[in-house]
Amino acid sequence: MRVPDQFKLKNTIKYPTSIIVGGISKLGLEVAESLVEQGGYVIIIDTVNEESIARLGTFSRNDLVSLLDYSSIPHLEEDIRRLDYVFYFNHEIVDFKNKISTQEFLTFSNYLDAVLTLATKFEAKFLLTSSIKVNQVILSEAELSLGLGSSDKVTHIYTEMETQKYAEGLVMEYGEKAELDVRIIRLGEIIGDEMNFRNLTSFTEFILNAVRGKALELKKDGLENEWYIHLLDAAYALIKAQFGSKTSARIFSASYDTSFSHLAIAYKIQEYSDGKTEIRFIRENDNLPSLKLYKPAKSLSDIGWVPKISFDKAIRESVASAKIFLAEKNIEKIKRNSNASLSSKLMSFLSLANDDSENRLNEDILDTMAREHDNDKKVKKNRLVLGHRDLKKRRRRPKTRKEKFQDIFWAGFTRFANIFTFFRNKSPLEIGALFVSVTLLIFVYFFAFAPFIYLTKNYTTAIQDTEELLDFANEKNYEQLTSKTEKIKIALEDNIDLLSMYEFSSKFITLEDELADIQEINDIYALAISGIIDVSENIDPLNVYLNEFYNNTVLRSGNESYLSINDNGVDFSAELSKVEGNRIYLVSGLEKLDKAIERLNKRDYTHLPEYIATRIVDMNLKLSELKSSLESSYYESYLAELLGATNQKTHLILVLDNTRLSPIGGDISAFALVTFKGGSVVDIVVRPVTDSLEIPTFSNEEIAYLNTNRFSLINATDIELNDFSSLTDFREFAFEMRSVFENEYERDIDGVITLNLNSLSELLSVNQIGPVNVSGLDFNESNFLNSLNNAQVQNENVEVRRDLIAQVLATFLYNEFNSYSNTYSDLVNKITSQLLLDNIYLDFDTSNIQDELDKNYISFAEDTDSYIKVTTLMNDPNNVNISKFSDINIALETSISNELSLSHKATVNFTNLGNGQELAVCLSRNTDPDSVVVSGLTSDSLRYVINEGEDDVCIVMRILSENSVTITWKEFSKFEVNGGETIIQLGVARVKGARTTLDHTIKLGNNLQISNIESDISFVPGSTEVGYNKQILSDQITTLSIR
Amino acid sequence: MRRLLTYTLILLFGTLLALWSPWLRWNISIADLLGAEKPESIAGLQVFSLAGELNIYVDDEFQGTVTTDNSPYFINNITPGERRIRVERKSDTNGAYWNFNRLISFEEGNDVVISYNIGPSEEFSTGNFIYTTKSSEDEKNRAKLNFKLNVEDSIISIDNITKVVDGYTVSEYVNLDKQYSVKVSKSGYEDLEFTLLPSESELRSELEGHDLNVEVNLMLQPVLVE
Repeated sequence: MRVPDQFKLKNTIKYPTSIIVGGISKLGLEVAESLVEQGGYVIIIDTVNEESIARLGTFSRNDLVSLLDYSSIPHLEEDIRRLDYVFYFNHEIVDFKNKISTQEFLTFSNYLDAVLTLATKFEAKFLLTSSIKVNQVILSEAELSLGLGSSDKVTHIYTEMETQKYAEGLVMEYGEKAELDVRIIRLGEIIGDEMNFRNLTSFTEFILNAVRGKALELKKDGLENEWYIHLLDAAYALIKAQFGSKTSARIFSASYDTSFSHLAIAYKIQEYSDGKTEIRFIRENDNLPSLKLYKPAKSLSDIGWVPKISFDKAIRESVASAKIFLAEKNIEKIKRNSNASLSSKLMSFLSLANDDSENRLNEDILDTMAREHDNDKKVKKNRLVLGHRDLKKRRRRPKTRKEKFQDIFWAGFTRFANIFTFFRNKSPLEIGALFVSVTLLIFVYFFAFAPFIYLTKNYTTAIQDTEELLDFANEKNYEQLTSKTEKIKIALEDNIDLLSMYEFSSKFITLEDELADIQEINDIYALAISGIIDVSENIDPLNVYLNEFYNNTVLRSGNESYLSINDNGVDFSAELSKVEGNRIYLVSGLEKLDKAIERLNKRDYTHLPEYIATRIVDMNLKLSELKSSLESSYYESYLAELLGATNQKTHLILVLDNTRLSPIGGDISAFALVTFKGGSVVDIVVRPVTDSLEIPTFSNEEIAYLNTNRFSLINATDIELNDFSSLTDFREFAFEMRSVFENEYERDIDGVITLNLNSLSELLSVNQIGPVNVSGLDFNESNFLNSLNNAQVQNENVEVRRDLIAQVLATFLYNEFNSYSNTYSDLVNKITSQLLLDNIYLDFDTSNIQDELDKNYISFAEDTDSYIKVTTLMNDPNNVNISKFSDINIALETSISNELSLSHKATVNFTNLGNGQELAVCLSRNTDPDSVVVSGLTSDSLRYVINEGEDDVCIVMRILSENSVTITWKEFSKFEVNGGETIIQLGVARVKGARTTLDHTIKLGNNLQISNIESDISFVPGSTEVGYNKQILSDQITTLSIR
Repeated sequence: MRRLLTYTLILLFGTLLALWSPWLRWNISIADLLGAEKPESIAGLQVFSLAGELNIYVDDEFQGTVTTDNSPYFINNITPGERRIRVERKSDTNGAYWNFNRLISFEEGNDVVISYNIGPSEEFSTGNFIYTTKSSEDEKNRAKLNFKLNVEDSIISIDNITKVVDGYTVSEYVNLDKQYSVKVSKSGYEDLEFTLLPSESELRSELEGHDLNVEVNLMLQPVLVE
């Protein structure tokens, strides 16, 4: 049967959509009308036939009503866009004893299940109607153990009323487990205008018999009770239950307040019919009592529904409706009869008809209705079976991709659309408040919460990453250092951008200063990180060189050289040139780091919370350490040039034995002459110093200069290499050494490096450098002197000692070249620390690094007003078994008179080295030699001389058994007394090669006072005396301001 | 319970989203959205050769060659920020001349000026380079001149007003209404003279709010002149 276009399914999401299953009944149509009037769209599921289409005639073309067959349920899920309410009518059961097969039961239950699933999918409200009478019968069955549902036949164990019981159970289960919004309304029997006379209940029988003038037959005692409800009241009840808020997951009954017995009904009908109707009692042989009163489910009146049409009026309407119904049926019968053939009529008349159509001509009206009702049920059953088959097919068939996509799309869209249904029941004020709240929430989230979380995350990760930077820098792991700092840089840049967004708004909440504070700290850290990146990114080519370097030297036993080369190695000019070229980035990076640290240290963090302030201070300390660690990389950038990146470079390494002290720091014992080209060793000589080295001719003036701080004088004719150890100025010493070795080995020497035994033994402890074994003895940091002395047993002379030192030097260099990349970082750290202790000196004549080294160079003669330099010389070549390094203490008292004349007293306490020791105390040229007084020497014979050199006045002593001497002297006055401030610079030289301590006391005349001291000495401004003691690690100048 | 779980999940999701905050990295420009063209952020470089042919490199990319005749060489499309500027003097012998090799900070809208006579080493090269940095002071029609010299205690003369530099650096304020003639001298070094500030007043006024940094390299006289 084709459904007219007006009632076809509409594709709309705009209107609230309801489904009424079994809705073509009068009740269904009443409910549908009510829903349509409220602007809804109603889909009626029922048998599609001419009659059902005709019933929809009350709806206009504009009404949103559709009629679908029972079998359409399986497809409905895809066909509709929206579903808000479901009415499932399951209240019309007449014959409680009618048994149905298991298959029928399953068909029914699956159908109901499908509708419930559909409702769940669309989160629709579900209403099930059932019958109060069914419930009544079920309870009675239970009481009376009637076993109405039992049968000896396996295929007939359910009754129709059990389908209702099952339906209620299934619906409540969906309500509980699938959280579907369900309610069950048990209806009384529907009576009133246009009631359904096809349902042959006791009431319809009474009415129809009354209208036809037949007797009203009451079974048993006529006291069986029924519950009734007018059709319009039922429709109203269903609407109220569905749309009410307090009906969810509950069962209600909708009926007149009281039940009515059959007898009472009969009397009423009798009253409202023409009054001639007879009431008759008939017997039943089942020996069962009448169905009595019981209390149905909670009345719907609890939610405010009340029946509006009285029972009397309902009876009257039912009677009137029955008359109309019968009249229509008679007209139909007459029509059928008039259309029948003559023979049919004749056969019918003779009651010989043998087919149904002929029998129908004469059958009673009740039988007709029963038959039609059965037909309706059959059709409905068939449609349900069809629908059930479709369901099974659909459940078996997997969905196509397109179907799945459509499902997902519509599910999401529906969910989105449902959000706005939230506003349906809200007042404009509530909606406005909600809108404002949501806007405020969004605003707070995006402009306060999220930025705060993001900033915190960035700062936390930056702090954690920063803590790792120092380790990477110390390990010279520049690749990791770069990677980590890039991460920190991104985090800080994000924070800078984020904070800048709040500059304008911060003015309104008076947090401008705080924001500016945080921004400034952020900027400073960003500057520091940028500096670190500059340094680390550009020192990386050096790592490539180190990792690929290989040792082409070989240890030898011959004394021509203890180390030589196998081949010329690999050319690393390209990598080293990159390092050299990138020095500007290093300079820039370290400058940035310096500026950042300076600015950080100037800031006050007391106004910040303690936890944050502590973290910032810790981080600042780490940055300072990091800067110190990275500073060595600055000098490393010069390595490229020193390692012959572009031109070949030769360097002279001299080892000074500072157990045998000399003014330059020790006996010149061994040397290594190393030539680099492109980063590889292309020539190497490692030997002990011998007297065979040719010394250039020196003039008398030059000899006199060398003799300034010597007691035993050097002759021009027998000058030896070690005579140059009498020089105190390293530059001059390096110059002389260059001349000698350039002459000897006929090559330019670019760098002169001196180590003493302190620094050499320290370098032996470089990580992973490997053991140094010479003459069967291990040499390491802790046992160096002992091993040296033990190796000399029965060979105690200076040549053997020097030879041993040369072998140690050769082995050290070999081990170092062998493990270059592993030892490099520790080696650089150790060299740096020894440089600071003045145990290593460097002189690179033409290299750019020399400018850096010269920045720390002090010339006492030029830079001070008064100074003292103590040197000592071990001159005995057989005094070699010295097992400790020297300790020298200078106790100096400086007095400054009111006329600004300086006088001093120095007591020098020193380690007595034995035979051949000389001690020189050199003073500024301003010293009055006649004022010099020496005390403490044990013998009266001339044990000291005063040499007046070009720069110094030296008191040189020959030491015997003493370990302390005292000298006093005065200086010529060079300061003018002008009443203003006078600055006096006092110099004290470190004794090269020895541990030097100083106890210095400065006393002023009573008209003078100290206004400032530029050093780390603590003093009281305005005092006339200051004293300090410390170990001096390098030459130092104390600048004193006096008023 | 379900509601509490929902709120907790929303809070957790919100926090995770806040940790990510992708919208903070979106580079949305209203000008771009409206189709308006933003003026390009650029800076410039001018190189003067005081002797010989000089090859100019910016971030290791060759830009051009300048001689005394075609000075200055203009490069107008330098992206502001820190750039590596290298100026090499052409020579047939490798390594015959020192290379001017510096990291210079370029400010948007302003030019860096390099003017050099490159010699065999830095010590024997002479010249100056001038660059700007944003000023922390709010000076109207004035700019702060920061001089940095390679030698101590030199003498700077600006329009014949002489000042002895104590150390390596000195600062002065100048008005931006005219050019200045600068002379730097020290005993034992070759004097260096140059003009400061652009000739056009429009260009000078763009320097407002900036510090002018001038680094001067004086050449050591190889022979003591008495």
